Amino acid sequence: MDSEARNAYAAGLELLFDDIEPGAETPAYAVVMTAETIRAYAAAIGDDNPIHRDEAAAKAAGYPGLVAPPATVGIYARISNLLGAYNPKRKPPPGVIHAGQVFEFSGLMLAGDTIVSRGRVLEKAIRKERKFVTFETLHDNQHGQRVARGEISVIWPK
Amino acid sequence: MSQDLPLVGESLAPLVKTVTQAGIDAYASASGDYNPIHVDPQFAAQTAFKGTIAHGLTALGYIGQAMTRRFGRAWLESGRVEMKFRAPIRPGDTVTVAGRVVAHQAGGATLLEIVCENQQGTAVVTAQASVRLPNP
Repeated sequence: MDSEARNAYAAGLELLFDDIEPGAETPAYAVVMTAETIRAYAAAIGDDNPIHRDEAAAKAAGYPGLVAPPATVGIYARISNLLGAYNPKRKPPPGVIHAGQVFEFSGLMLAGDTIVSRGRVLEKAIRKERKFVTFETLHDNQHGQRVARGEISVIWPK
Repeated sequence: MSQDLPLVGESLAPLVKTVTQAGIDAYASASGDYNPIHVDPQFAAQTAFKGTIAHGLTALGYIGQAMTRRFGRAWLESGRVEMKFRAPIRPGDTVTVAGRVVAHQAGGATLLEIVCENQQGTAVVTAQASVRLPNP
């Protein structure tokens, strides 16, 4: 991996467990879901369904355009991306452990859609000396339609 | 798209995935998640994992592929999945995604239990998935 990518990952102020407030919302941020993103994501997970690879095949199958694998929205649900919407950027301390995640899909995500995402702290709790945090993530398209909702539960390192 | 309701006990066609470092790097590039635990073998060797691990949501991609193949648009527009990450997925692993219909819920959703298992029979991710199917 190139050093610029690593440095981008490393940027930002660490958000510590003590500073996480239940109910706090992260700023909304928007990303265009491009055909390139969709094809690269499908290729990375080895998904050969033509509706994720080829716009003509997706239309032939009755879809309005190239369809994102629903897992693609997981990119926008990442805690580092949600916290990165703060100005200045915040970031989780290194060593966050992913414990569980929920996604509910409620609309197609198509190439060219703008996905607006934000997070909210649902819960923080110490159980068995481990610092658990759960964020709700909300993902809407450019028409204001909710396309996905998620919950991500992690163990916060410090 | 109309389809018959699946029977309780029906299994999804199993999906078998071979995990490689090149595939993990491709996932990092596609998702923008370059956490060194996934892409830097030297760094990862010094952590508790003793080596690189796949991004957790790779398993969501696998589960999504299996559910889309079976349920099509209904899954894309009304699917729900709740995952527990139980063990890391590592380069060199072969992950088999298996699923079974366990119930038709009162609210109209069809519920499946899903297990992603590695070649040693360890459940790396377990999940409950549900989908609302149009009436046949």
